[in-house]
Amino acid sequence: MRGFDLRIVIESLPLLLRGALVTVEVSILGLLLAAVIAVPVAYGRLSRWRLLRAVTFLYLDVVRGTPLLLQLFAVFYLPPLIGLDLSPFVSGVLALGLNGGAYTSEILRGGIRALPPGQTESSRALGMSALQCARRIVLPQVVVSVLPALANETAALIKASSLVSALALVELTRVGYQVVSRVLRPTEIYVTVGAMYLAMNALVGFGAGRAQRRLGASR
Amino acid sequence: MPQFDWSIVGRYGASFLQGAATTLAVSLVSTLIGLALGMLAALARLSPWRLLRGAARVYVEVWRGTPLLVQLFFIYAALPFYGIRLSALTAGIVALSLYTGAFAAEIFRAGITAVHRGQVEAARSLGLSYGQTLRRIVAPIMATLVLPPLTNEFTGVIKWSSLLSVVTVPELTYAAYRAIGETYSAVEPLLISGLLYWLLNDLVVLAGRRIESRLTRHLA
Repeated sequence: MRGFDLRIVIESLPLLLRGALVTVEVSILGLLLAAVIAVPVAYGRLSRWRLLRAVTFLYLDVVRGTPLLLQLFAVFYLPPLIGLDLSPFVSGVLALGLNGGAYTSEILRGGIRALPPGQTESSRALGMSALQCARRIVLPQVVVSVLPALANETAALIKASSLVSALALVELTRVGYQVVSRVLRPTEIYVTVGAMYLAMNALVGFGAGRAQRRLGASR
Repeated sequence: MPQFDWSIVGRYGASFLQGAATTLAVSLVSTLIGLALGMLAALARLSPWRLLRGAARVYVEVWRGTPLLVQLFFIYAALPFYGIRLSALTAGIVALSLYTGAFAAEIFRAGITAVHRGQVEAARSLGLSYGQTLRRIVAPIMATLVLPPLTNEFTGVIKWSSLLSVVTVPELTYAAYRAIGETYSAVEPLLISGLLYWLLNDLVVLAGRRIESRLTRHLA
């Protein structure tokens, strides 16, 4: 039994912070990609066309039915077969985006369905195109109403980004692992790493709370 | 694009099935321990003692707020320094159970607080005993509320258990990883293991729906 050595924490802090920065980068880009994927998929699931519904459901079911780690391997190993060489960073963003996109699309779909149909009908009757209606009427309201769920999803994605370490991307978890194998102080390092993830998630929760108050107040 | 190599199915089929069985077993054990932990934590969070409430809250927040992979590394690497030496499998089950427990605690807490006091009081004043009230009134209401998220939780555990491959527990993802390393082909192992996960996932969802409809039959 030995005590908690704060010196180890301070010494490895610059390295860990650099890793945390990569975690933030990968998470933000993954989140953006997830958002880009989620909107058309959510509409595809609600579409009148059976084929579109089937295709989007297949994507959803595959992503939700398999582990992210396996998806990461797929994004890492499969593109080289058709001559595409992706860096671990790009693979990580791709996998996180594809994974997060599925879960986010379900959140959006719930929000879209919860919106009174009169909103869409009246905006269409006023001459808006389907795209204008989605952009100006439906999505702004949906995003506000599902903000807590989106915040949860964001926090989950930040945690999930730790798996990208399996592709040898040097983000926070990987740095922690490397430092531990050098200084042999797992308690100090992993507690610090955990605290950093907690801080990032707290930041997301804080930001979402503020956004919700502000957006809610404007209505 | 290379052809699908069926010989990999033959050579590695057994190891994939064994991996899937390990995945299912580990997930089942971890979910059961996790549910028990979650129930305890949920009750602790609703307890009148501040210290107990605080401790449960710290557990739930920390374990929900940090990645499972970091928790797993911590349990696997740090505990030996305190004289607790766990095998990879045990460390994996401990990590998964603690992680599941933190999420289950929130589900149970929501379920417990959602059963209205008036319903309990009404049942009691109609002459139902305390045990009958629990069994016939509280449990069914809680089950309808809690079962869908718990089924979800179990499918989550199956997927999270893939992380155990990182500490070399021979579950399904590890089987895929090994097959990729030995055959230098990725398509077949990824497809096989993906399909098996998909199957496990859908089986759990189906089973959850059946239990749910059976438990709530009398409410319809």
